[in-house]
Amino acid sequence: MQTEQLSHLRHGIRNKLNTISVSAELIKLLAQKNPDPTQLQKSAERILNECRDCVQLLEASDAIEN
Amino acid sequence: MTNVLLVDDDSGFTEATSELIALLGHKVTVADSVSSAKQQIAEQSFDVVLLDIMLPDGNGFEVLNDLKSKSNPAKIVFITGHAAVKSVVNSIAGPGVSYLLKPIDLPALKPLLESTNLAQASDDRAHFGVLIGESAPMKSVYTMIERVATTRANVMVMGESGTGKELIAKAIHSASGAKGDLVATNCGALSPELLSSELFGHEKGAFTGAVSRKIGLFERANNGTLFLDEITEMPIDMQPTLLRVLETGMITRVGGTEEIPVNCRVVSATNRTPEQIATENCLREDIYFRLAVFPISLPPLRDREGDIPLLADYFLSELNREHGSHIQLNDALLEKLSSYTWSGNVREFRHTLYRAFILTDPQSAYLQLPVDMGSPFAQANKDEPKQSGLKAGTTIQEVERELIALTLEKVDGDKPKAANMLGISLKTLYNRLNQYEALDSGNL
Repeated sequence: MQTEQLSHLRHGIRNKLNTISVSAELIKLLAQKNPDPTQLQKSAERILNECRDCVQLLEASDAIEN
Repeated sequence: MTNVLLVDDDSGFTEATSELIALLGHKVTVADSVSSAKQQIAEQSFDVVLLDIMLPDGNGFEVLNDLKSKSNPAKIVFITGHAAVKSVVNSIAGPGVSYLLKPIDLPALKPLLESTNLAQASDDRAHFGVLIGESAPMKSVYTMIERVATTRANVMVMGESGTGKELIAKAIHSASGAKGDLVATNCGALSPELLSSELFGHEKGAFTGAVSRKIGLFERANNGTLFLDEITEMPIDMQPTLLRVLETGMITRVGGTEEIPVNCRVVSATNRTPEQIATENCLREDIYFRLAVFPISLPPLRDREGDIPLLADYFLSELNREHGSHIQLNDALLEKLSSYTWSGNVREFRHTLYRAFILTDPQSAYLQLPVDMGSPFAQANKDEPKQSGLKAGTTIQEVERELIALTLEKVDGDKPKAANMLGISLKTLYNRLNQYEALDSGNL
């Protein structure tokens, strides 16, 4: 049960990192073009949100392990 | 522009990814469930489908059947978190499926979206759907094909082995818009006893073993094109039967009495030169004029070196498409391919690329060429660069000089080795070479 929960959390973290990675690539690509500041902000905001979610997921997995 | 369907239920991911894909110049549609993906697939055609495996109402595999039933199937790319999932996906989805490993980055995503354009571009580059090359000799071949396609004239394609003579037959057939089929046979492979039966068919009981009526190649190619490869290998005593059909446009099945009209263009091919055809008594003169109403000479690869990058790109795109890989070429590889002498022509070139493709690590970005590129046949030709033959009237000095030159060429200029092979001392070899040099400069 515990292993299953941990695996589920790990899956969630991986998904968050995936969104972070794509958003960072988007910022890089936007920066090369003529960037619209709102687009850049939106992507940066998405990265921050996903990072916060990641922290929550990591805390939840810590709680399970302890 | 590639039309992409992104199937994933993570809104943050689909939002960022669809923006990224749009920024790369492609069109993207998002589906957040199996049912929504199925609906989108039913409504429109996609070039690439990026699929998450776990979806709220099922899994990504459930949309595979819908995708495969489309007339123009999309390229399927599974988004997975583990490399290990690849083998499981492969066993369920079959080959030809690609993967994107999380976390996704641009270098991994971009080629997956662009390779469909590349494949399409390669196909667009094929003249008459089959011929690749933009060199002057090939352009002149294209013009000839266009001209002859509008007529019903018989064509004889002449070219070295491996130059793609059958493709010319395909090109003419497709450019002519003929209603019938393209039927091909190799005259060298037909036994003399069965040749008439193969070409003209036979009636039931015509000979032992003729248990039923057989329709011959001429009838099968009616209103289409009959391709006779290696026409000069057809036994000379069998050629008059072919001549009669070419002259009258009528065939009679072996064992039959009825004359059947046939209307097809005959495209024949030979790897002999017109001079060889004229002197080697392999084709009757009267049949030559019937078959070679319009002769087309296909250039060897060495006369169209500029086409090598195009051919390499085309063949590699084909292999990548077939195997769902993204192996590329770079300038250094193209230079190596261009500088090699392809004595086996496009056939040898294609074979080498295929061999290199198999040898290349699938994870590698670039094609890895084998150290030894050529085929055993090409190597054999390379080992014998010159045809040496004794002719009456040649002086002993001339024969000696030619022998020394050939031996030196064989051992890459290694004089001690050459002297050893020739059974003379190194000093004698040097003396001879100095003598030839003096002769050539007019000092002797």
